[in-house]
Formats: sequence, structure tokens, C-alpha cells
Amino acid sequence: METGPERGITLERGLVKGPEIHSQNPARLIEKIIRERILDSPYWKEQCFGLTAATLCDRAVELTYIGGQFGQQRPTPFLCLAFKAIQLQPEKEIILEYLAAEDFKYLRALAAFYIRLTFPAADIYKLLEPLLADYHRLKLRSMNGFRLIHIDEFADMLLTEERVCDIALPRLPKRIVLEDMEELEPRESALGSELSDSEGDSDDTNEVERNNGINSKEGQ
Amino acid sequence: MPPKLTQPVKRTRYFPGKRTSRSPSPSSSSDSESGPQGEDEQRTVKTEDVTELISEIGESASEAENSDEERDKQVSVRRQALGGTKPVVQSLKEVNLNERFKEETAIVESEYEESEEEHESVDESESESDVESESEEENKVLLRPVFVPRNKRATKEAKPQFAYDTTADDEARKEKKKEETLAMIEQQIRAEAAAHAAASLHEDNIIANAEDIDDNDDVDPLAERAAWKLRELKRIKRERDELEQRERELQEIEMRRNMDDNERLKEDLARVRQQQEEKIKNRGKMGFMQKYYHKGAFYQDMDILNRTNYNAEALEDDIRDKTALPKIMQVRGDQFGKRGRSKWTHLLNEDTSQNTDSPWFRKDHGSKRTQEKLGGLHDAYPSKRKK
Repeated sequence: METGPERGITLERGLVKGPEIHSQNPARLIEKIIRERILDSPYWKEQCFGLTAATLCDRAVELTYIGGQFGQQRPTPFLCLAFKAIQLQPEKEIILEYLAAEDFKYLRALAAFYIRLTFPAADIYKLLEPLLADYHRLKLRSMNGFRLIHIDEFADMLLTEERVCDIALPRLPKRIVLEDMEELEPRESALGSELSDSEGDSDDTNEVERNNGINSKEGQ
Repeated sequence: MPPKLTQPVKRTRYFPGKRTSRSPSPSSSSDSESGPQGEDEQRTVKTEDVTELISEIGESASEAENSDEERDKQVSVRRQALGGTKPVVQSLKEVNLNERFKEETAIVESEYEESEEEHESVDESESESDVESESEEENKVLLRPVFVPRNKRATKEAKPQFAYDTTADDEARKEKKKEETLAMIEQQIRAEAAAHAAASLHEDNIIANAEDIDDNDDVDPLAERAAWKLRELKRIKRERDELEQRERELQEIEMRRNMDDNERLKEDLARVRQQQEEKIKNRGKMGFMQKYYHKGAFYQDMDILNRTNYNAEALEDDIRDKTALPKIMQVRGDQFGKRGRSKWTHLLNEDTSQNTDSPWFRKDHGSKRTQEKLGGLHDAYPSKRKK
């Protein structure tokens, strides 16, 4: 079976010409079912035709929520744009720029998602851990409805879980493994300074938890 | 003997509706209400009138045999005799009920008082005059009772008015009621939806509606920062726990490597025993007659298997405590009463003869004679040998 976008109607639509990611066609990072749904969705057909990296950025800025599938298994615009990014394969610098866009949190989230899907393991840890300090709010849409989430929670999900936004993420080795292989250094949390100031870590956690007991409910 | 009259009168039979002759006759008078005949002229006139009145009353049921003119003449004469002032209707055929209705409405109120007075005055007199007075009213206005609709009745004002109920506003009232019920239903639905949303929100932080979630970061930055701190600390703790566990594992591996075979075996057995004890301790009590379900030997690592407690009762039965039921009914499902369920036990459970507690079978001194005398309690063929 010939594959490739220049060959008429094939069983595999939306495949990418170019270097392979994780030793497979980049489009295959997203499973077939979801890929088909994305390609059939109205948002894809209307908005994602003929996008470039720049215009993709414009679309991403207009996003109002992240998510995988909702309602009757409809893909979110976020997911469509992520797939478009996979198809476009923009340069690393562009993605880093998107990630550094402080004003547009949904663009940031999109860049983070793309990084998690395509970049090598050490880079993922290096790039996504700064996001753990960002506590801006995001809207997450899923089959159950909308949910409030923060950027740091989203980054944590990307680093820890196997399935985010209905996409099975590529395998990511544990941080310890990479530390042992000396590709990484142990994580320094943004709270590192505060932790070291107090006498004991456990005291600090207890104290902060008690103080934040009421506030956390509001925030989350 | 009937009194002798001045003029010999031809005996006339009384027919209802038929006019008898004017001259008083013993037959007519005998038919009429009791009263001395021929004594009082006025009284005879009265009785005569009564007769005619009775006949006239009966006229509505039967047709008049006499000619109408004669009758009407007599009626008019009688009316004048009784003091009636109303013009008399010539014939029944010309009776116009509508006109009569109008007449009645006009007359009823005006002559109500008069009739009352007449009634009062007449009450003292004999029963005949009662009939007379009633018929007097009827004489004036001979009417068939006509149904008057509610809103055309003269007595409308007399009816008590309810503050909340006016027949004129019937439709408006209905509409108002409809609106009220709709509003109530709407309110109920809203309350339910809110409760549902609140419940789901409480469970999972998931809100169905997009507008309910505020994307805005500027609201209360301090609270946001505090929440973030909490999350970050939890993450740090989680990482530290993972580290510790990894270290523990490594340590154990080291120790095992240094051990001998025997020690390893001992340690293994101890570990297994401890696991069993924990399992037994954590195992819940199975319900009475609950079916044992084995989860399966594979995939024991999966957490999903630990979610459901298979010892708990699966079904919600009406009867919780089956031990209270008779033994026959202590069966699962719908097996009660079905064939093959009961086991023939040679009625051993119902055999009370071996029950030595019962005074009937005890070998007391007192029961000895009883048992000798009573039938069926000793052997059929007792042995000759003395026991």
C-alpha cells in the first residue's frame, strides 16, 4: 500500500514527508482513530488548511481551552493544531519561541504538548520543568465537561502520565535514570530557596499546608 | 239521606277535567273536600269552586272535554269571585311561555308580599283555603317552571361573593394558575440542575458549563500563588518518596545478595506468612449464603481488581437476614419451591420419639404406668424376657 500525501485516497491520510520521529512517521504519534477524527473535524477542514508556522501561531493564540476529545468524540481545536504542528514540523527555535510566550498561555501549552511528543527525553525535562513554576489558569475540556487546570499541573501531567488529552504519549524514561546517566541534574524546584530557608522540610510543608488549607480549595 | 234540595238536580258523575253543572249537587259535593252541603251558600260556592279548581288542576294532565269557551267563562267568573285582577288567558293554545316568563318576573317580586300576607291570613283557616290561596297565586300566573341561567337570575346579588373566585374572571384565573405551575416547574428544574452541578463539582472539580470556569488569572494572585506552592510541595514530596522507595529496594537487593540460601528461605516464608495474615485481616465477612467469587489467577497486579470488594453483597435483597427464614426458604435466587430442592431425610428432623427430654419418653417412675397404659408407646411384640 503506497503511503504519502501525493497518492490519492489511501488508508493512511495525513502522513508527513520528512524525518521520522521516534522511528516512525510523525503522524503516527497520534493514533489512527483520533487522527481520522481530527482529519474529519470541521475545525481542521476550515481552519487548518494551508497553515504555516506563523499562521499556526495565530490560530493557537485564539484558543480558549485545551483538551482531547469532547462530546461525541469530537477533537478539540487544540488537538487539531497539535496535529498540524506535527505535520508542519517547525524548527526547534520556533517552538522554543512559542514556549517562551508569556502572554499567550494556550500557545505555551500547545508548544509544551508538541515538545512532549517530539523532542528527545533530556530536552523534554529541561524544557518542561520551568513550566512547573507557572501557575496560570487553563481550561481543560474532556468528555465530562470543562475543568480548571493550571499550567504547572498540565506540565506535571505531561511528565508523569501516559495519556494526556486522549493521546498516548511516547515513552519517557524516569528522571532518576537520566540522572544516573548524567544527562540531567537533580531537579531544583522553584521553591528551592524557601525550602532551604526553613529549618526542616517537613515543618515547612506542614506549615504551608495549614496556611493554604483554605486557599487551596479556592484555587483548585 | 241526602237533604232535599229546592231544585231536583240531575246526578252528574264527576270526571276529572269535565265541568260539572254550576248548581250544587250532592255527588259533586261529596267528591269535593268534606264540608256541610247546602248549608252555607258561600260554602257551597266555595266547594264548587274547589271542585272546579281541582278539575282545572287536573286539566294539565288531561284534555278538557268541555268546550274552551264555556270553561274560560267559568274561569273568568271564578277569578272575579276570588278577586283576581289579572286578565285571563283565553286558551291554553295561546299561552306564550315567554310572555309568561316576563310576567312572572314582574309579578313575583311585586306579589310576593301579597301572597305572603294571604298565606298568613289563610293559615289560620282550614286546609281548603290553603289550597285556595296557592291556587290563587297560580291563577294569576300559570307558568311552567323555566330554567333561568345563572347570570340572568334576579337573585344573583343575593349569592355570596367569594373574594378569590369570580366567575367572570374564570379564564384569567386559569391562565394565572397555568403560569404559576409553569414557574414552579421551572424553579424545580433549576434547583435540580444546580444540585446536580454542585454534586458533580464537589466530586470531581468538573463543571459542565464553560462559562462557569473563570480563565482569568488576575483574580486573587495571592491565593493562586499559595495554591501553586501547595502543588509544588506535593510534587516534591512525591519525588522524594519515589527516591526513598528506590533506595529501599536497592538496599534489600544488597542484603539478599549477602545472605545464604537458608536465610533467604526463612525471610521468604516470613514474608509470605505476613502477607496471608494481612489478607485475612483485611478480608471482609461474606454474607450468609453468598456465592464465592474468585477474581482469577492472572493480572493480580492490576489495581482495578482491588477496587471492588467481592466479599460484600452484590444484590440488594429484600430480605437481608436469611438466617431468620425457615430452612426451606434459605435458598439462592428463585430456587424456593422448585423440584429437586428438598432432600428425603426419612423425617428424621421431625421424629420426636428419640427425644428423651420429652416427658412422654422419659423413663420416670411416674411415667411408667402411663406408658404401659397408653397405646403406641411400647413395642408391638414385646419380648417375654423381663427388662
